[in-house]
Amino acid sequence: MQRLTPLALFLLWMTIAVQGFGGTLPFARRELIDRRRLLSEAEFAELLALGQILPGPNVINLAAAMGDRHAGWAGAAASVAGMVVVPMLIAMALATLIGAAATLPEVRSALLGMAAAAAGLLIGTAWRMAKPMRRRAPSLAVAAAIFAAIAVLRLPLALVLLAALPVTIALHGALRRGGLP
Amino acid sequence: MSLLAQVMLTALGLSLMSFGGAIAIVPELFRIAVESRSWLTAERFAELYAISQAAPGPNAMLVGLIGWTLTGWIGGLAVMLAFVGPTSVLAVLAFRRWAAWLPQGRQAAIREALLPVSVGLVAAAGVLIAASLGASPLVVGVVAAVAVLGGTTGAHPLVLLLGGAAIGALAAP
Repeated sequence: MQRLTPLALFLLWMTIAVQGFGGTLPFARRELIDRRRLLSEAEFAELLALGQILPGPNVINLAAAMGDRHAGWAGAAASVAGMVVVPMLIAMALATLIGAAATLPEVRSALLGMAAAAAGLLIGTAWRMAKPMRRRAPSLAVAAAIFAAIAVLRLPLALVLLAALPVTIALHGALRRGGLP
Repeated sequence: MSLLAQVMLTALGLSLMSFGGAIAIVPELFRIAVESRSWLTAERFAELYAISQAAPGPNAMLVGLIGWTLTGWIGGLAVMLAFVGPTSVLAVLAFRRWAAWLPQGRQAAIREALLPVSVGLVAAAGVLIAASLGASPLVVGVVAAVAVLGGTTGAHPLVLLLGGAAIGALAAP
């Protein structure tokens, strides 16, 4: 395996992150598999799969694991920093510019329209994510219960997760031999 | 405890609960930052969320932007690192040790069990942010149109965000 230095890892993940409008996953896939050939399709799928089970942003978990394989803890830290430092500077600069322009009524109204679009995107995303489970009654029941507990009853997430995670794991047979029935 | 330390601790606690991606903690961040601590208004929260989605990069940057709006540039970076640091350490340890003895089939079953949790949380985030913007015709129209377009077509999220901004600018009083 070609081993990357922490600096190379930082630059690699920074390149992926600053292209990532509307989600970094497709850009990570293109850069790591197609262009740089650092991971095979199967390795990428394996890293992402475990990254999705663990807490934390999925692609950042993937970056940490990939960085660790190349250069240990320093590689993991460099990869994660590459993912967040420059995008965070861009986001703060963007927020500063918008804040300075927000005295204009047009800009205030544009910001309101963009926030409404962001809320609509979340609802559309939930619908798309639900595609594999739309006909599965136990999954729908769990999703509806979570939605009611969080959006309607306004319960703390920690309590909701403590109650919901054992239930959903049991309902989906995730710890039984063979997984889903 | 200083405000920065409070926000960093909040970010750290939230990161450990972010099963199914960073968006899953948006409702809890809203509950803490807007409702219990009154760090910012609901409308400011929605604005920062929109900016975090319009900027390139991972979609977890709302957490850092809230740190920025409360404590400045260094604070924004520090809060973001508090959000991604501990879970990255966990990820490295997990990949070193668990990847070998958690077979792919079992991982797929756990993902299926987590999916409805993520779906419920993402939908809750959308409804909470929409509700915080008030019920003007502009807000209701854009939320509904983008939800349908985003949910049923392959339209790029950035196009939909900019479309919402353009409609907002045209509808300015």
